[in-house]
Amino acid sequence: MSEAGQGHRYFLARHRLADLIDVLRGAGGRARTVIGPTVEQGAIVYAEIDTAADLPVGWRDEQAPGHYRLRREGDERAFAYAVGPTAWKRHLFPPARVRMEVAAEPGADGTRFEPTQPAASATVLLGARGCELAAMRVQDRVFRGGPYVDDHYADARDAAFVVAVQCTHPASTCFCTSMRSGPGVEAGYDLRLTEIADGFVVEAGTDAGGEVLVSLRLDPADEERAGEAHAAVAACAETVTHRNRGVDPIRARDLDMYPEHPRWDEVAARCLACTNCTMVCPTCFCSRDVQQSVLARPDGTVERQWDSCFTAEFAAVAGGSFRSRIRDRYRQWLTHKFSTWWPQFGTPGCVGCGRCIVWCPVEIDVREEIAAIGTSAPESDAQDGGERRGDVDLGPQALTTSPGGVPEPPPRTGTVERVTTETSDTVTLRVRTPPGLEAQPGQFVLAAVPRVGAPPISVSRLEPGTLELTVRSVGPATAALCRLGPGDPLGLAGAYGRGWPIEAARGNDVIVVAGGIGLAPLRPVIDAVLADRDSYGDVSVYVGARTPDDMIYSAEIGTWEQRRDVTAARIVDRAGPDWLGPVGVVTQLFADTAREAASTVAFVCGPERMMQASVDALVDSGMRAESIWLTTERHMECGVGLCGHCQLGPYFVCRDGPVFTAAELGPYLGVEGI
Amino acid sequence: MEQESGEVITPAHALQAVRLGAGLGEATREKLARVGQILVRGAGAVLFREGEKTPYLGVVISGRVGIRTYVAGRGDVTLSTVEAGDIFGWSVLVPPSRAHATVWAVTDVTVLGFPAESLRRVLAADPDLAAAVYQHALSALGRRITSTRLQMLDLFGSPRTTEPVRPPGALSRRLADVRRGAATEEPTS
Amino acid sequence: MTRGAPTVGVVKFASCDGCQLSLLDLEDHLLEITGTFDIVEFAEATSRRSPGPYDVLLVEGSVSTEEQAAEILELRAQARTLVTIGACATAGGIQALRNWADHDEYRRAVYAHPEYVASLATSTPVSSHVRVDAELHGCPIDRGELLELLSALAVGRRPQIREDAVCLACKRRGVVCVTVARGIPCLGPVTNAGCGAICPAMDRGCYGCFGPRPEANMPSLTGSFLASGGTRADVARLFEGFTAYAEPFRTTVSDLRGRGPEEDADAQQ
Ligand SMILES: Cc1cc2nc3c(=O)[nH]c(=O)nc-3n(C[C@H](O)[C@H](O)[C@H](O)COP(=O)(O)OP(=O)(O)OC[C@H]3O[C@@H](n4cnc5c(N)ncnc54)[C@H](O)[C@@H]3O)c2cc1C
Ligand code: SF4
Ligand code: SF4
Ligand code: SF4
Ligand code: FES
Repeated sequence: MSEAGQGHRYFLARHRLADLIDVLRGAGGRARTVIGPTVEQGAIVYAEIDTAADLPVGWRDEQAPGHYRLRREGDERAFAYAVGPTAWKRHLFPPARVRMEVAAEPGADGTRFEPTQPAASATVLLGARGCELAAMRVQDRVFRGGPYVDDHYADARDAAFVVAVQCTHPASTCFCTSMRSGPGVEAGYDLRLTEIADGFVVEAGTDAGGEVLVSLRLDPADEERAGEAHAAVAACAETVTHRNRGVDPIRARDLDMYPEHPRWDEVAARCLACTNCTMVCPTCFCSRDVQQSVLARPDGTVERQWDSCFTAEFAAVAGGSFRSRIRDRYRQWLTHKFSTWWPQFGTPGCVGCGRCIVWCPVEIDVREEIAAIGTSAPESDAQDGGERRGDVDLGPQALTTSPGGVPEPPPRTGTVERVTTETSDTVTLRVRTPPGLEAQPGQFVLAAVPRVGAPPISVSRLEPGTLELTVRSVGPATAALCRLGPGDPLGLAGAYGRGWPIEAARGNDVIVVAGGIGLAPLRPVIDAVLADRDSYGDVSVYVGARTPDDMIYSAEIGTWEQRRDVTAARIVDRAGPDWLGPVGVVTQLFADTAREAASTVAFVCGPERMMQASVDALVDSGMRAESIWLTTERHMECGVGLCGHCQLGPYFVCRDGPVFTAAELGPYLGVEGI
Repeated sequence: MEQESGEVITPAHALQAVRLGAGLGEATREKLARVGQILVRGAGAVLFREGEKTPYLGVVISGRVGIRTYVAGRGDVTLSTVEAGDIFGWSVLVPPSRAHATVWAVTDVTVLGFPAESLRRVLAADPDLAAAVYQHALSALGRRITSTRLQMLDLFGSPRTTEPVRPPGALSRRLADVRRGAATEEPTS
Repeated sequence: MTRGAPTVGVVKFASCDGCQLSLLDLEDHLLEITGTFDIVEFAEATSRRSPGPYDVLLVEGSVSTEEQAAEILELRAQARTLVTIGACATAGGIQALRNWADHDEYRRAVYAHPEYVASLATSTPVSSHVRVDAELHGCPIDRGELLELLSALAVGRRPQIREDAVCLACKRRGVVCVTVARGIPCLGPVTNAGCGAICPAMDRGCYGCFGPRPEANMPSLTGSFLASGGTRADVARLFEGFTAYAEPFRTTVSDLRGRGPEEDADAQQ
């Protein structure tokens, strides 16, 4: 590294700001787009900057809950404001981008899914603040910290040259010191600026930053200027800390322990579910995949767009939404930011920038909400017995991510070999597995029909070279799957998720409890156990359905019933006179049988309410929640932990599930609106 | 509980083997067994009909008993079944003791029945026995209500039938149904 | 037109034709549309008349006369899918404002020969009369949404039209919130997106022409308008636009005005 390395402070005189921008734009040959602060539409937003004159020189901001105004101070300062409505995610994770091109032309190769390749151009992010760099590190963990990465984000991030500016003029809504994200900037920058009376103290954080300093031929900053810069940031920190003495992020970690706190109703009465808070938040990452095509044209695209947990469809599945009330959505937002983000990503989801407070049209202040719920919660409300979580180092500053995952894969094309009609609305597709696709029992695939959608479907049978999908037509995408015939192509992405622990169940008694289409993901369990029957103890299979005609795999259940080494029984909710089997709920089939806690493993799948009843019955009969495995359904867009839709408390169902133990889901089963 | 064919079964034996009897002291159980009768019915036989006076409180010893009701246009609908060890005909305990549904033998069944009159007599004479029988009936009813609730939720039903009036995207959802060919449009007014 | 292609009809009731014209506005796609669908009735463009049935029937306009009330029942029976397009059909339109006024007076003021106008005392959305399968909101509707509706029908996907707040569209577009940054009252938080946030992008508050979102939190938004200094009449006026007759705007206006719209037995069957 050159002498302009880390730790050396240089002085950039005010009139040379223009030179800095010129160098950043690529005077040295490499053309770069500079994105920085500028005054537009009555606010300081981030947009393309051509010259120093585009910067908000002489402007001050005034920010409060639901309130933002600019005022002309008329001085020379360019960075004397706190963060505005734009977050850098706009450039790293744009509001909409085409993720995939699809085609449905005739012929074997006519069905195509081609991911768009990232091609970020070199960009300078000028004016990033401490909280904003912390937010980037938080999003790094989301988008490139897991097994599947958003390669567009990663590319844009790597192509970004970061010029950080330390804060000296905080807003009333800033609480960076509570979240340990600012006002200073400690890491993650190429250049770091601190504005003082006659210019800037500048430091390089990387070699690339050092080169810029070298080409500017700056003098070292003298003691006085260095001291002025230091004092300005320290004073800022002091102010922010003083204003936010009541904000306690450690207590806020416990928010998810009070799902029934009355404050949720109070804040829901104010909240408009307008999504503004999530849109302006620099760490919110949720997205939806939108199918686009024109009329009958065979080609189309899948566009990934910003989404928010406040939207009506965010947690919707066929049949309704898991979070139908505004209360449920506000609770999702606040608990996610301050509480469940921790187990997901090891950091809080909030960096204390205050944007959600300012841009909430009805002035809801997260600081007040976390204080009200976190500190006034009656101890008895606590879901896990009131035990408090320990102190942790909050500083996202300290966190780095080691990229390692693979880009989210596109669907590969398989071919339907056979279609079996199961019931009036359900079919089983046997599909020739595309090369490279591997699946385990309990995992799911995204079954993609170009221009229509890619719903998650469980693998219902695995054989060498083929897999089966049992699909119930509940909406357009599943209907399109049900219309497929032999020879038709079909896209398959995956298989994804945590499967059933079949191996671990060896040596134990096995109970399978299925309701409705829930038998589909369990069939591979039964296949595996029967293929290796001697390795397991008693095997029982209990199946519930609405009516005898709604029972899938009816003939196959018959063969299980015939076997002497399997106890199999089925029950229906209602039946006509021809049905000679039991009528009632599936738990009636096994509730009275005592279980050996230590040596029994149960696998359960069906509607959530039915699984809950089954877990209760199994626990009453002596089983431990740790050995009861369930599979859950949630709205899914991406299947790989990037879109945020499938969250269930601290879990991403697509990645941490869909198979969970009843012990893991215990706190969430039966809680309304999670 | 399994009965070898041909073996003669007495009310006392039968009662001992089921939950109702297991919860009673020996002397009390004897007392109850004395008013019991073993009934054997072939598959399809009706034990008693909806609307009739309930003739007895029954315990299924073997086989499966069904509880059904008649719905115009749908015929007989079985609402639940009673499996070995469980009771039916509880309405005998509560005046006016009218059967709320028809009870029939889904398979060949063996039933232990306590005829209404004699049952009422022993219960009136022995408050402890009465308490035990009522408690048993209540807990059986409780389980049945829980099941019925779950059945009412129609958990496996078509999502469309359980949709709220205007769920998110409901409008476009229905539209898509048309493409699926699932919509059977009836004229609406 | 393709043989066996889905049949589409476009009909209108009380409205300005603006929404139907959106279909003609899809100039670049017209040939493709007629290649994909069989347009059997379209008052604006053809003189063809079809008695139905229709696979898809687009209905523009509100129901304002007794003939119309009878006709919509008839049309519903002929349509597999009935889609209402525009604020008039979905919410009663601007003409629904007369529902709050004295009807006869209104009629005298508007028409030279009021005695010829056999109108119902109210202008009501189509959904007050028959079941509606889908709605395209807006005054006029958004061409892009119309094209998406037709495209989704053509390939069998769920139309990618969501009931998001206008705020979501503003934020995606990078429009700075006019309420927070300039104190302009805006109906965006309670209004369906779909317009592309046109008004806020032009420094104006949203007028709600795409209609109330299903979960619009009216007490909170009107409370905040009142708290920031508006009178009850000022706030009522904000909602008295194209979709004033749609709930919950309707109740809000009535509450703020202290009186409800004239309910007429004819219109409400
Ligand atoms: C892990 C997992 C495994 C599944 N396995 C099966 C299976 O084996 N067989 C089967 O028939 N169904 C299965 N489902 C449910 C299936 O994914 C939904 O029925 C399907 O997505 C509905 O889409 P649609 O477009 O047909 O219906 P719509 O009514 O259009 O669906 C509602 C909307 O929600 C979206 N959506 C996203 N995720 C879901 C979801 N999980 N459920 C419902 N809607 C969702 C759809 O994209 C659509 O936009 C599974 C779901 C999950 C999460
Ligand atoms: S939750 Fe609010 S304060 Fe925290 S990072 Fe997001 S917008 Fe900023
Ligand atoms: S789920 Fe979390 S990350 Fe996603 S929009 Fe809501 S608060 Fe933001
Ligand atoms: S908290 Fe405020 S910004 Fe967020 S959804 Fe509710 S009203 Fe909108
Ligand atoms: S995060 Fe996208 S489906 Fe789980």
